Amino acid sequence: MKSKLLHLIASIVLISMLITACGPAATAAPVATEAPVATTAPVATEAPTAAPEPPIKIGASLPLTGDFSGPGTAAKKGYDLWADMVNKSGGLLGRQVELTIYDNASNPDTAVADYEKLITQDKVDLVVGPFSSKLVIPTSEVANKYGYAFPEPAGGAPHVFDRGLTNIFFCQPASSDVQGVPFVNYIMALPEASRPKTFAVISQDDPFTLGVVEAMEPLLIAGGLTEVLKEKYAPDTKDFSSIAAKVADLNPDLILGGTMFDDSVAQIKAYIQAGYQPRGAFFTTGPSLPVEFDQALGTATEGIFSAMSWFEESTTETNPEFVAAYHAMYGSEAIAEDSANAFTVGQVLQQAVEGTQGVDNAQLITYMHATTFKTVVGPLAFNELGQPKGSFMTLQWQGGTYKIIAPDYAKQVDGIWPKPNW
Amino acid sequence: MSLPSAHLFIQTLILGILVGGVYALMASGLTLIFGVMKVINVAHGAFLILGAYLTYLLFQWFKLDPIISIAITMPLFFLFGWLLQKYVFSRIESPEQTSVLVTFALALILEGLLGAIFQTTARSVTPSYSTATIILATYRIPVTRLAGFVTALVVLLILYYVLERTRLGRAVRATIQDPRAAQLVGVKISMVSAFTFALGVSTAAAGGSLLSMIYTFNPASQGDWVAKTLAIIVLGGMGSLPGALIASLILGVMEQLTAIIVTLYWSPIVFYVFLFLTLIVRPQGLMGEVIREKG
Amino acid sequence: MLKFFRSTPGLVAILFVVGLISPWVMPNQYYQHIIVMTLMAAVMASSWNIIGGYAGYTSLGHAAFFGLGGYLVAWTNTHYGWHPFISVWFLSLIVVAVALVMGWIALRTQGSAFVVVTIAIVFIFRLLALNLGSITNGANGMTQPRPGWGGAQWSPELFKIPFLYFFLVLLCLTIFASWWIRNSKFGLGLIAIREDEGKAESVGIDTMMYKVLAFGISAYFVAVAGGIYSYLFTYIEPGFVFDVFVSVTMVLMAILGGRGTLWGPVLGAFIMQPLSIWVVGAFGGSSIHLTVFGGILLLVMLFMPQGILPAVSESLNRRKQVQSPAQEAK
Repeated sequence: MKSKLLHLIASIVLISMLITACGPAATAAPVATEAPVATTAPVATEAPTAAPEPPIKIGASLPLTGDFSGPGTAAKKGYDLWADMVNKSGGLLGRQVELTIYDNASNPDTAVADYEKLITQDKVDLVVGPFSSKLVIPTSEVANKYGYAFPEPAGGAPHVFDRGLTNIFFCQPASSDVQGVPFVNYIMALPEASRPKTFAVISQDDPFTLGVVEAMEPLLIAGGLTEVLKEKYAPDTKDFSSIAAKVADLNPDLILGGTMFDDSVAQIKAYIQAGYQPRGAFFTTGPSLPVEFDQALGTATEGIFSAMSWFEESTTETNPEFVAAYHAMYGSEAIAEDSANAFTVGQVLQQAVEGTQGVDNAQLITYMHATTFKTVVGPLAFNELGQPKGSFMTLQWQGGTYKIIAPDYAKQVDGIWPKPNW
Repeated sequence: MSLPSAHLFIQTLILGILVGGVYALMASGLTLIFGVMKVINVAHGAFLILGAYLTYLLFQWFKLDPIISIAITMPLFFLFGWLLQKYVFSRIESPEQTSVLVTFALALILEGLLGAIFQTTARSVTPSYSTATIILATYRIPVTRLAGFVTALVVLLILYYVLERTRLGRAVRATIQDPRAAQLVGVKISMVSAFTFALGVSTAAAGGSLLSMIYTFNPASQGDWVAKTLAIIVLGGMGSLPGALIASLILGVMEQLTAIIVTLYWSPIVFYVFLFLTLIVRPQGLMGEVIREKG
Repeated sequence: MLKFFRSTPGLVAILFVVGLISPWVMPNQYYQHIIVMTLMAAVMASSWNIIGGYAGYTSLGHAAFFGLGGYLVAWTNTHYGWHPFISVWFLSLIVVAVALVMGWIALRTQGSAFVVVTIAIVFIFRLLALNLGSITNGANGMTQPRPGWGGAQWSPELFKIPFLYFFLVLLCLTIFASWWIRNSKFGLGLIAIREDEGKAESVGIDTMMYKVLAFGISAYFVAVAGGIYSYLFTYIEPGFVFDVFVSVTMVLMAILGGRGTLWGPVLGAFIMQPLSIWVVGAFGGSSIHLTVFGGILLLVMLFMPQGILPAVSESLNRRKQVQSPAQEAK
């Protein structure tokens, strides 16, 4: 095969480049022409006694501004923390980790260009994914084009996995089509009399949010509920007043919001203004951001449900250390799920690099498919498409913070049903 | 497609009229500037967003109510507009040809600067009454929108008074009707231009303050707003203030009704459909002159 | 011989040869990327120049044709496996048909009003792309199979080169088309429209027909560029391609180099595109590159509205006249 031959040549070129880079003549200083948002520069004073080895360069593009800035910034904290912990404990394979993170402003095209640049110009050894399916889908193509493994913290929509790529590894316990299932089970377990009869879906046109709510729809309908309204809206929609009036007019018992952060707040405010008081409310992203959601809505958060991959009090192996290190680095504020997910990506990458004793992406991909990783969200293994094999939890806001209410093995408190007025 | 109940229909109508009033204020400056100077100020959206950020800062720093902050932002913008006209726009040769590109350049400069300072994260100003509503015979009226509507009307009335009752205002109107004749009777065109441009930009300050408490915004929103306001003034008739008012109400109502009858996804397209229909059926708009001005 | 290299075909030949060897002189993928994008920008600016420069109608609507070309290629490549390098030439004819209809509506207006209407065209196409989710995949954009030929994918190390050559050929074709139009009766008619539309009409030029035709032709090469662009990135999304900013880049490049001249738009693209890639890279995701871009546009509009090439040739002429007025007689 021609492409195989080229691949071989490429590997040889890469290896020879690595050898020359490791040689004494090479002073592989990071080129300072760019302005990466954050670089964990190798600390010179901590250099091991052996000859200084070049750092392992890892690149990512995150939505630090724009629509996904909330979760994107949280993810950056997870990556930074992981790199910091690795470097403090002597690095990866004895080499320091150098993280280059660009801001893609939540634009898919900027994200695509960023990964092209990270791979072809910055020549990073490894890449890790951005936040959310919308950005993961196009950027995973870039990584695949250059043969890079693509572990990613947030991109579990059905369309992430249906393109036949084998380099994606979604580092959460379950893909988005099953994330809402525990909540549906919770609803179905309610006593017949107080179970909701009607529901509405108001979702952003986004692969992740639609992936979650559209998987819940048929389950709720099969459980005897009637869908009274389904609306999709463009990502930059700002005015929800008239659609909220329509929802209030139909008055469904349960509302499913397919949202990122900003629109979850905008939707809830519009419902309050329209006088709509559902008995249950579920939003995909938004309630999972512990600090920002509370700041934006205050007491209106009470009783809101969401799906959750991780929680701070979890006692899974490595989680207590992660939580302690996080608070040492960023203070006492509550940790966002997305930081934990990004940290998970780091853990997976770290164990794979150590397992293969190198940064050869082809080997890493093979290794990741075959291994069960120890992570803060529990043991993580991937199927051939990179889908994780675990399941999600359901959270509910109670008293200004969120608590896990289902499933039973992780339950912290009982759920409140119906939810209080917002 | 679904037919709304009578209650929902009237509720949406109310929301549409309220939002239409705010649109009218936003579009007024654009149509005024075109009327006098034949300049299409594509930077108008950027001025609106600039006004919104100024209001946002005043709210963050001093907890200043967005409506009260208009008293600060409007004079500032008046000065800004005056200087802009005096030192930038007056230099342009053949403004009818090139004004769009020059103002577009200005919009890009502002969007880039605002993006560098505030980033693209969505912001909004949330005074204590941001989710409050008044209930009037079972219809719910959000306080922010009602306040926006009333403020817009007050500012438009002041604008109307300035144009009708002051000397400078009369000179502006004379220039809109017939610039050559106005010049003959001693109107100083450069003075009138600077005054009009400053007045137009200052209405963007007021519009921006209202925008900041009703919607979320980021620097890139300027494109959407300039497109909306342009559609309004084309429908209303370029240069016509009453036309802009009527067109704003029509489009505000149509936009909200589309959201509940068709889908939320299609509601923004209302503006462009009307824009194209206007051009094909009635190029002069509702109350304006034919916009086939010579290039 | 020297004379040939100063003629249009000669200059195109030089451009072609330099382009042909460039990837082998510069194996660095990032530089190849810059060359690809620059050639593409030159195609777009030159194509825009046909309506915007020769006929004097400042269209900000060409981003719509860029995006439409991109979507047609993405769709036919994904669903039918049509190879973009071949299909784009035919698919762009569909875009021309759309452009003729749009032009027929938009060209009823003139001056600033025309500019505004063309802006609206871009917004309409963006909304259509967002809303017709079953075809366009809405706000999530479309991905395409990775570039390759006959079942084999181009290797990561070399895959920019086919694109570089494609845009090189496309640019040469665009320049020839522009050159041919400029020297034809059609082109003279367009220039007459720019100088004085009323007079052009009175001497029997069917101005509407001329304008609409020029609008359609100038949409063609932009659509081809858009199609191959979406193939290069294997991804297309409404917010990016259907953006008035894309149109403005064409306008700025054409105006900077010399609007209405043959080589001005090419020169403008060769200056602006590497500059803007550098600025975007240097400032990362922040939007300050918009400020730089807007600032350049403002300065050019205020101080050099006719562009570089006309300004240079004017000053050369003046010097020539001073030095040897006799030579002017030739």
